[in-house]
Amino acid sequence: MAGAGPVSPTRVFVLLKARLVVNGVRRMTRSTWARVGFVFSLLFALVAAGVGVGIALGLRVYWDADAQHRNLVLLSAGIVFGWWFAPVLGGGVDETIDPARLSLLPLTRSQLRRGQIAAGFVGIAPVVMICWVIGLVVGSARTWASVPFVVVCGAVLLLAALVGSRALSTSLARLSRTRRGGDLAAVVAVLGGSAIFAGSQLLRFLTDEQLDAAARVLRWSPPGMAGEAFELAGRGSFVAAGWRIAVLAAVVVLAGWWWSRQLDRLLVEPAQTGRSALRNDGEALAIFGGWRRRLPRTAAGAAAARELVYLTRSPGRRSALLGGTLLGLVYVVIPVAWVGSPRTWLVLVAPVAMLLALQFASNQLGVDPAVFWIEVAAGPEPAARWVGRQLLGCIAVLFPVLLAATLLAVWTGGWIEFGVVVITMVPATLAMVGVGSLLSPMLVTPVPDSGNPFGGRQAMSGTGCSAVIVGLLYFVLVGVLIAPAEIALRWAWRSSSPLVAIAIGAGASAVNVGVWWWSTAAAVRQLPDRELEVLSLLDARLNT
Amino acid sequence: MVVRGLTKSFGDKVAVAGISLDVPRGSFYGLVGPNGAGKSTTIKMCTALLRPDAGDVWIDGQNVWADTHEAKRRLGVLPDDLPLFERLTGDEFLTFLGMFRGLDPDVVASRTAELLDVLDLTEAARVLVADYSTGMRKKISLAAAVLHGPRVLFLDEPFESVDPVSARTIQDLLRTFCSGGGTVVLSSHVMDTVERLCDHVAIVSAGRVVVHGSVDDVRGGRRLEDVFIDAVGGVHLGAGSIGWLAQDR
Repeated sequence: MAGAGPVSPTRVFVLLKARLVVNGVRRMTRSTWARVGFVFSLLFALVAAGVGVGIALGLRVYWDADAQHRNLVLLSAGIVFGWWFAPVLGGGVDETIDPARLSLLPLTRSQLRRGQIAAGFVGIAPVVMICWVIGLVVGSARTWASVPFVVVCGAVLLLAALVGSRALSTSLARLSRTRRGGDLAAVVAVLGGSAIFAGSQLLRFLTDEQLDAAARVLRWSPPGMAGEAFELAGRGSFVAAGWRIAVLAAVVVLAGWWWSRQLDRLLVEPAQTGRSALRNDGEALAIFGGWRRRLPRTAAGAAAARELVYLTRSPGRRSALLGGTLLGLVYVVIPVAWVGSPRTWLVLVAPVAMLLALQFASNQLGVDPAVFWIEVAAGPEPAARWVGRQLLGCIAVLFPVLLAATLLAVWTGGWIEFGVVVITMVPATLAMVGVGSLLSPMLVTPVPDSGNPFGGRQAMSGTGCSAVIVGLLYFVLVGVLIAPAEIALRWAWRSSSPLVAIAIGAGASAVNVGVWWWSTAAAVRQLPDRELEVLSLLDARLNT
Repeated sequence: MVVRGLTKSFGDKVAVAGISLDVPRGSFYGLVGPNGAGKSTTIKMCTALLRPDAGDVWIDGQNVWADTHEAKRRLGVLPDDLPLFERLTGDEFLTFLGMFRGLDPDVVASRTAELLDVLDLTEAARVLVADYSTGMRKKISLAAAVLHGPRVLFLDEPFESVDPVSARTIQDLLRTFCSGGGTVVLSSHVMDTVERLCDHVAIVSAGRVVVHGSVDDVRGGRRLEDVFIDAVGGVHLGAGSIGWLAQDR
C-alpha cells in the first residue's frame, strides 16, 4: 500500500474485516477453553464446507431429476435464510457492520454499502457459504450455454443472502434502541434462528414426500426461485430461469434500499433510551414491588428478587430463555419424528428440552458477569449469592421441560408419564443447580447480556462453542441420573404398584435434595477462595 | 462555528432547548455544565452524530446537516461513548481510520507513529484496543480524532480517566492545534482545566446556555467554579441530612 495513494474505502473494509478475523483467531492462545472451542468451530466449518460442496456437486450423481430439482430449491433457500438469521441468533459477529463504529467517518452511503457488502464475504462462515454456492453452480451447469446463467444466479443468490442479512441486522439494531423494540428484535431473531435450526436438525427425519411439500412452498420464495433457476438453466430453459433470477435481483435491490434507509437513521438517531422507556409505576419498579412483595427482606430474598426483575426487564435475558426453550424443543422433536406415532413413553424424553437452557445451571457465574464484581465488592453472606442464580437455573431448566412434557402429554395422552416427569424433574433440577453451583467457579464462561444484534462479543473467540461443550457434558451427566429414576418410576406406576412408585419417587427426591444440599454447601464454602480466579475469568476484555 | 436554536427532546424530556453559540476560529471553547445539562447531546448534534429536532450548525460556512459527509471531513470528534474496534491493535486502529479518511498510507504511517509516541502509546501500539485501560482508550480516540488534521475538534470530557502526565501532553497537543488556526470545543466538569485552557466558555444548564463569553468576562474576577455554581444552582446538605454518614465508627 505504501506510496500508492489513498486506498478505496471498499478495499479498506475488506482489509479491516480480514484483520479483525486474524486478530480474533490470534486471541485463541489466551484461554484453553477458547482454543478448544475454536478448534471445534474450525472443524465444524471444514466439515460443513466439505459436505456442502459434496452435496451440491453430487446433485446429478446421487439423485434423480425430481430430487435434484427439490434439493436445489431447499439448498438455495437454506443458504439465504441461514445467512439472514444465524448471525443475529448468534449475538452478532461482525464489527465492520456496526454503524456506531463508523459514524464519525466521512463515508458516503454508497461507499458504506459497497464496503460492508465486500467485507461480508470475508471470514470463516462466509467462505463456507461461498463453497456451497460454488458447488451449486458447478453441480447445476450441464451445458456451456447454461454456465453464464448459473454463475449469475449464484452471484445474485450470494448477494441476496448478504444484503438481506445486513438489512435484517441493521433493522434489528435500530429496533433494539427502545425497550419494546428490543423485545420484538429478540423475538424475531430467536424465532427466525430457531426455525432454521429446527429445519437443519429435522431434515434427516423428513420423508421424500415431506421434503417435496417443503420445496413446493419454498420455490415461491425468492431464494427458492434461485434454486429453480439453477435447475431450469441447467435444462436449457433460459427464459424461465432468467425471470426467476430477476425476481431475486429485485429482492436484492429492495433489501439494499431498506438497509440504506435503516442505516441512515441508525447513524443519527439517539442510542437506547431504556431509562425513559420504563413505566413510572413505582410499586412495580421497586425490587420488592408487585408480585415480588412476598419474598423475604433478606440478602437471599434480594438476590432472588433481582433475578426475577431481570427476567422481566432484560431483553437479553428474555431472548436467551426464549431461545433456549425453542431450540430445546427442537431436540424433543427429533426422537418424536424418529418414532413417528404417539407413544405415551415419548413424554419421558421431555427433559431433553433443557439441553440449551443448561448454561443457566452449569455456568451460573458466567450469566450477567457484571453482578459478580458488585457482589465481591459488597460482600453479602456467601449463601445469598447462590440463591438468585439457582432460582434462575431452576426456572430456565424447568420451563422448557414442563412445556415439552405438557405438549407431548396432550399429543400422546401420556399423563401418567407427565406425572413421572414432574416428580423426577423438580428435585432433579434442584440437584442440577446445586452441582452447577459447585462446578461454576471452575468452568465459568462469561455470557454477555446484550440485546443489540451487533453487541455480542463471543464471536470468533470460541467461548460460545466451549460453553456448549461443557453444557453437553453436563447434560450427559444429568441424563444418566434422571433417566433411571424416570424409567423405574414409570414401570412401578404402570405396574399398579403405587407403594413402590411412591417409594421410588420419594427415594429419588431424597437423593436429589441431598445432592442439592451437599453441593450448595460446598459451593458456598469454596467460592470465597476462588473469587479472584473467577473475577479474572469473567473479565470481558480478557475473553473478547 | 455558528450554532443557532439547536433543540432536541427524548420523549417528554427536553435535553437541549434552543442553544445558540458563536465559536471564533482558532479559539479554545469550553462547554461546562452539570450532569444531564445537555453538553454531550449538543456536541453530538454539532458533529452529525445526532439529528436535532430544530436548529442549525455551520462550520466554515458549511451547514453540517445539509452535507454531513463534507462536515465529517472537517471535524475531529472524541465522543464519550464511542465503541472502538476492539480487535485491532492501536496502530492498526489508527491506520485503518486514516485510510478510511482517504489519507495516503505513507502519511497515515508517519502520523500514526508520531501520535502514538506523543501520547505515550508506542509500547502499546501492538496491543489490542480491547486490552487498553480507560485512559489509553481515551488517548487512542484522541489520536484518531486529530489524525486527519481537522479544522474543528470536539472533545467530550477528554481528560476523564487520563493520568496527569498524559493530561499535560494532551493539553500541549491541543494548544499546538489551536496555534495553527484549529478550533477546539471541549466539554468538561473540571473547572480548573477549563479556566486554564479555554479562552471562551459557555455554561449550560437544563439544555440552555446560561452564561457565555470570554473566560475573563464570565469570571468577572472570581473563580470559574464559583460563577458556575451560582449560575446552575448548587445543592447544599441540610442539617441532619444523611447524618448517619457522620456517625462515629
